[in-house]
Amino acid sequence: MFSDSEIVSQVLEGKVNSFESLMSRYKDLVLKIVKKHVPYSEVEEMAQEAFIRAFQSLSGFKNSGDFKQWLSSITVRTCYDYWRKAYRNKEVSMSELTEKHQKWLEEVISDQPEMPSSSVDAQKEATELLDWALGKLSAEDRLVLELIYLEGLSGKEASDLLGWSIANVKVRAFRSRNKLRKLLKGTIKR
Amino acid sequence: MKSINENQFTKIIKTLTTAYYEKEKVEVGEMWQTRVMGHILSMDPCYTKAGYFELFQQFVWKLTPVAFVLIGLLGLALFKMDFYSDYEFTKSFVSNSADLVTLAMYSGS
Repeated sequence: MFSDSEIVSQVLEGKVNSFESLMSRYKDLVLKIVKKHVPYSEVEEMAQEAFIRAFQSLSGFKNSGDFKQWLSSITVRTCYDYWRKAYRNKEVSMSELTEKHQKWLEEVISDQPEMPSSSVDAQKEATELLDWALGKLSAEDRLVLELIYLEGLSGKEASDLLGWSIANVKVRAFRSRNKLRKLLKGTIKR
Repeated sequence: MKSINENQFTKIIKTLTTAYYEKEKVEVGEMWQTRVMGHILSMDPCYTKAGYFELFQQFVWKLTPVAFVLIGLLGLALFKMDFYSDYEFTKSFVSNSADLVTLAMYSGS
């Protein structure tokens, strides 16, 4: 069984079919990242885009490096570019919140020990509320918020994936958290 | 407007995180990998395309400090030559300072 670096070398030597081994090996990883960051309808296309980008910049991969990390970074940046384009073209759906979402939020912040997330309906409302709130943020804030607060990555890990400085990631993370808090605060009934 | 304290906000984030991870359960079509591979095989060889790009990138970044030094030197030379020569050149022909002022008025400088 060849290592990632050996397969990369084979592809660079012209054996393009060898790239399929890398795809089989990392398909799940790429799809897992993409599924969380882009809408359902765009998952297949963005995952394809990530692999194409990886293929095109294969000569930039340093053989001493970690291919998994390198590919993850390309995938996250592909998702980021998707949102930048979507926001620029105003393609981000801005569905309005209903009473159900407000009620869900109030139940979450109430002192009840049992969270309302157990039912399917509550799960749906949580997903819709999350999508609504993320849709109100910029592409940068959205990605940082997802990576830091929802996935629990460190500033260093997020900066490696996004290719930004740690300071930039930390500042963005702080600001995006405040923005989310303000947004949620605004949805609670007066 | 009700406010959300830190504990409540942490609780919301925790609940939204569960919803966030639910997105992972989406399935993709079985033929997806074959389609992507087909697309890749139909593309130009990557190593040539990327190779040129890499070479270009390396070259550009290596030349950046030299470019900055050249821009600085050129700017300095232009500043010295242009401003100095116009005024000094005219002054060497016109000895009277009143004439120099008149000349400046007509030349628009």
